[in-house]
Amino acid sequence: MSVLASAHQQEIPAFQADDDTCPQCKSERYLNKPMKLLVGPCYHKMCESCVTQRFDAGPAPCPVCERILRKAEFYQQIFEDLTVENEVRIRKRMAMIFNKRQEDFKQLKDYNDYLEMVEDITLKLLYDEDTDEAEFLIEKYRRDNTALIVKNQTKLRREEVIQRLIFDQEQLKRQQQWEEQKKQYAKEEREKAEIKNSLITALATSTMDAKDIVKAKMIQLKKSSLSSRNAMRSVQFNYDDLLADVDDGNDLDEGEAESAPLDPAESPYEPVNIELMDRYDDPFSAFRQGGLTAAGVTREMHQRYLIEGALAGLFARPLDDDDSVAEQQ
Amino acid sequence: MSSKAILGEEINKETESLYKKEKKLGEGTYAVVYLGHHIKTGRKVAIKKIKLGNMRSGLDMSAIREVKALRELRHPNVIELIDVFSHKTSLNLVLEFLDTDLEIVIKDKSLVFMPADIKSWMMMALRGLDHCHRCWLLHRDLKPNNFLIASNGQLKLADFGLAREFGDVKRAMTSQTVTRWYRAPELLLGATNYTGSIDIWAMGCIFAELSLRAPYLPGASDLEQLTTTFRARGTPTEDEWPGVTKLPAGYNFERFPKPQFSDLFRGSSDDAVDLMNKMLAFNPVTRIGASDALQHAYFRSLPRPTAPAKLPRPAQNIADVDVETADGGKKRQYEDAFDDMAGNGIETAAAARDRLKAEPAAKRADLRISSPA
Repeated sequence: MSVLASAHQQEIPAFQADDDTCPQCKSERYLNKPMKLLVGPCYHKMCESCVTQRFDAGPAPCPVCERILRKAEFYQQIFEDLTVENEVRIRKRMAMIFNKRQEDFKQLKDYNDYLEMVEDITLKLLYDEDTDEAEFLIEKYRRDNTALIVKNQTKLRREEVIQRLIFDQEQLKRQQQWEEQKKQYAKEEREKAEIKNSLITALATSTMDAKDIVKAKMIQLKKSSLSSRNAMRSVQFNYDDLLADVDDGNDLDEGEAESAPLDPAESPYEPVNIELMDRYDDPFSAFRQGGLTAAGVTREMHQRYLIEGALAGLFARPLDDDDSVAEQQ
Repeated sequence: MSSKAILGEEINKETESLYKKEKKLGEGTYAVVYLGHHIKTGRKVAIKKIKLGNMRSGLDMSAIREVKALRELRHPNVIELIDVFSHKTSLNLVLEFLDTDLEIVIKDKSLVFMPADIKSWMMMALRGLDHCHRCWLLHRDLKPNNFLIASNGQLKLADFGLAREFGDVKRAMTSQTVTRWYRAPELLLGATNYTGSIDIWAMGCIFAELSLRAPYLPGASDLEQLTTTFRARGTPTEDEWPGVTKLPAGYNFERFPKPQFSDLFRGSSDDAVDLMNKMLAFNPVTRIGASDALQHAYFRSLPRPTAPAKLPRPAQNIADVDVETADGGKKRQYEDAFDDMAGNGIETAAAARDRLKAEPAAKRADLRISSPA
């Protein structure tokens, strides 16, 4: 029921085939791309303009089976197979009326009996047997249960609204989390750069021993990255809380080890952070001709390649240094 | 000088004595792959023996490329080159042994992929690729069967026979590279200078292939590949891709309208389709990079990527069989597994890799079409 209802909301696109032809005016999809083929309650097709022409003035007989039809009864086909189309329509109609739920019954057996009754009626309609009796039963049920039908319909609508709300909220939450993490990254990068800069100025201006200055700055750097990493972790724990909310224990695999914070860009290596200057004296003229950029080669990339190549490993500390070994462990 | 040469030989002999070859896994025209193990630790390895006898001018180019690239790289999602040694006139690469590859997984219709599984594979693949690009290395032959899968589920980038350094504008590169179905439009249009974005395009195709369980852009010939690409993605305009008409083969093409991308990928989330679109953007400058792709919301949204060990894998792979036991029953099981593979016309990952490597790049794509899909 809820599937049908939501399908109705989302407007499933109508079925179309390349070799569609209107049986009335013989116009083909090949020549008339936007042609709309409609199906009447007797499951005979006709294009929209034919329907308008024939039924605008009021009810008229179907040109194939001569059943009296109205314009409003025509609809767009969704399934390729018309028997499926028919069954879906019938079941949709049945579900609108027979919308009792299990909680409306005291015993499971009653509910099962009710379901069987509904299925019996549905099959009668489907196979065109005793349709009068089926229609009579439907009408009788509708009269007897009007209040309950309306109640369950509103119930369903409310549930759908709530579901949509929850979904929207989750999406918003996820977005906020993501923004927060991005900010955190940026902050960490900024702090690192600041410390590096102050180290360079200190080395240039201070009269203290260079070794001591470097040591002090290194401690500061470690502290700052530690604190921001802790902050990071708190954000990621929130992310896990969110997971707990959403999963509802549906996914049994989710649990212990899997809830560890996840960094998609995790790498065993420190990223190389080189900020390029706005411009360099570059006598190489290939970029002035264009063409190169069409294949993705940019001036910035080329400059980065040259500068990273020139600086690669320059700031890496020697491996046999005690500190670096300790750091790695 | 001579003492140095003798020292080199000593070291070579020592390396060689560390490993023992066990069984031939497959043979191509330019190399034979053996299963072996490290004698002391018992670690399983694949030993790729490159024949030198039939090379007219020294070593084969792809052998040099592979050693050169793999010596530079060490990453959990890149195949590890453990050692290299020579034996008489052959060069031996000792590589990490991996049981299966992504192509076998995609083709095994008994496996069901969840969105989280695809996310996990994509994440591992992009991590490996990001590492290559950070080291200014292009893989240039990304396709499902070059992603090998370890017994613990880790996806590893392999086959660096076409890899090369990029970034230097002054050196022209060939546009006849990458297996045709995964070849980026700028390569199809004959660009001789390109960037990591060609690998990203291939990754996008693999992403789509993982979702569809069928190749996304299966062109029948080089010329048709461009038509297939444009039919699926719409013909790019000068607006969308500035400079496209200035590329060597960038003249006028048949104009295809942009189809609704999400129609084909109904089963994928909006995040996934968005990332796929960004990876398959026509303009290589705006095409997302590997590290930016890893920062995409797709990898942060639910469901979380599956843990590697829990990913689906084919029932029959070499890892299930313990070769080291002397138990005859187990050994037979191992051989059966191989016979089955041979009987079904399915090559082992290593054998297929090697066979494909033996073909020149241009011929390679034709081979794929003719082999049973």
